[in-house]
This record gives sequence, structure tokens and C-alpha cells, in this order.
Amino acid sequence: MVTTLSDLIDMIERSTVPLWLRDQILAKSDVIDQAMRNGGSITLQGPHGEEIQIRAANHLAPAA
Amino acid sequence: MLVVLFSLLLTLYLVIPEAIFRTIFGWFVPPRNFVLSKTETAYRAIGIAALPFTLALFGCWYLPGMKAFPFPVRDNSSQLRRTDYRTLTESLYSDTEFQRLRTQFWPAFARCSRRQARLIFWYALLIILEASLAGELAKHFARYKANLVYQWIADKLLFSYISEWHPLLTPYSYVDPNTTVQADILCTNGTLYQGRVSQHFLKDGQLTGIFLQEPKRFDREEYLKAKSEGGDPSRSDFWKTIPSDNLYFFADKIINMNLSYKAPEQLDSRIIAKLIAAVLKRPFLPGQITITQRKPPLR
Repeated sequence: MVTTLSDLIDMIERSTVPLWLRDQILAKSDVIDQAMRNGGSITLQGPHGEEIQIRAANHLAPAA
Repeated sequence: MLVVLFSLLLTLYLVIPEAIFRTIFGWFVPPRNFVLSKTETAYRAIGIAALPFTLALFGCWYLPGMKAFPFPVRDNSSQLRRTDYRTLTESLYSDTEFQRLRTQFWPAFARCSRRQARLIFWYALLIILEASLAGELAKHFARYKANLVYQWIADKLLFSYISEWHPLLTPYSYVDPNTTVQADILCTNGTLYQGRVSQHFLKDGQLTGIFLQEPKRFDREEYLKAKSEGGDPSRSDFWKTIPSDNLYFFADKIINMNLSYKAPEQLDSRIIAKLIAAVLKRPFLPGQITITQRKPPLR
């Protein structure tokens, strides 16, 4: 239940995250959690070729 | 008599300043309609008044400019101030005391009135300043929201004054002003409309009307007819463009509204990080997690 304006704004913000990404974050929460704890990264792929990489701060990004 | 004086002071120092604050704040962000109990009003008023009152009092006692302007009191000292207030309180307490202190009462009353008028003058100015600052901060919520101190102030003070319709119907919580608010509106006549929210109107914080740009109407009859004929019609084919630049809806004719926020192409990594933190039930410090959009959607 939305109780404060702050919660309402959080809810609005979350609604801009594409549904596929929200679903994948929920479905793969354990894998994401593990990757974050180990300082790793995980890439989530969307239905239209989108790719989002979630990376722990101490993980080195691959060289371009 | 003392009770009357106390009520007067309460109105001058709490009720009126809170009303001034709300009015000035409303110039920056649409204010909420208040239905508060007397206790809630008092708590809110005390919260708003605390800082300006302390500053005004300090200034009127110690700062050279504020000490004597406006309404100066000749030979004003802390000793005289205490004596004046004692004379005033004792005289107002009983008629006997008033008769006894009659000659001292009126000069003391005049000096106290001037002191109070000076204090209220500076106090009101500081309330206006505080309200303008709070309004400015509330207006630029999207820009400052990552700051933890700002978030605390926003939650405790600013948001209690903002109408919930403002973040719902405007891109208030987005840094990019190009974010648009799309609305599907079901009206009391059973028709579903769709469009981009361009304006909305509030009265006492409540929605009274809304303007949609590029409006469309869903032709439900045709859709059901096509469906009953055994086909598998696509809903998108039944949205009919309405030739109008701004279609107005009266709020009392709206049954429900489905709102969606069309953000710019680039996803906001901060929002995704916040969502992940909520799902994992684990806060991340700024910079602890990095989100990169490696590929946008294919066109």
C-alpha cells in the first residue's frame, strides 16, 4: 500500500523499468545476489535484443 | 485575560506563519488539501516555526540591525524587557494587580507591543524565506533526490505539503523533463480514452480536470463485433484518433485512470539499482553497483 508521497514516487519510478527487466530481476534475484556478493556481474537480455549489465563495483569491466 | 492573550500569541506565532508557509510553498508546487486534526496542525506548525522563530528571536535580541528596526524601543535592555513583561503579566492576571500597577502598565504595554511587532516582522520574513527555499527544493526533487539529507527533509517536511496528483500527472520525479505521462482514462459513459497528459487542474489539492494531447478513443463496439465474427483482432487497430489538440476531461466523469511514464530511450540506472536493492532487500551504497545499458531495443 502506498502510504507516503515518497513511496508513491518510488512506485512511479519503478514503473519506468521495462516489464521484461522487472520480471528478470525478480526471477533471477538469487543469481544477482550471488554475483553482487562475489563482486561479479550478470547480463540480462530483453525480448528485443536489449542488454543490461549489472556489475558489482569491484568487478573489472572487460576491455573495450 | 491571560487566556485571550495566549490565544492571540498562538495565532500570531503558529497559525498565521503556517498559513503563510503553505501559501508561499504553493507558488512552487501544487499544495495538498489539508484535513488535519488540531494536534497535527500544531505539530506541523511547530516544525515550520522552530528555525525562523529562533533566528528572529536571536536577531531581535543581539543583532545590531534587527535589534532596533522596525519599531525601536528607547533604552531597551534585557532588564527593562523582563520588568515590562512581569508588569504586563501581573496586571493581566487580576484587576487588583492592574489597579496597583496602573501607571507602569501602559508604558510597559506600549514597549512590549513594539517588541512583539518587531519580532513578528522578522519572524514573518524568515517564514517567507523558509517557504521559498522549501518550495524551490520541492520543485527540483528529481535533481536532488539522490542526496540522503535532502531525502530526509523531503520525507519529513516537503512531501507533506505536495498534492499526490503532482508526481502522478507530471514528470516531477524524473530528471529528464522530456519524460511524458500517458493516460488511459475510462469515463462514466463507458468509453476508454488514451493520450498524453498535458495539463491538470486542482482545487484544494483535489483533481478537477485533465487535458490530454493526441487523444484517441477505443472503439469497443467495433472491437467486440470483430471478435464475435470469429477473428483475432488486434486492439491497436481499434484506437480512433480524435481530432483535438487538447481534450479536456472533468474529473468527476472519470471512473479510473491507467498511468504510464514514457522515459527517454536511455534507462535510468539509478532506478534499476534501487529496484534491485528492493528485491534483494539489501541497500547498496552509491557506486557499489553499476548498471550499464549495453544494447538498446532493436528498432
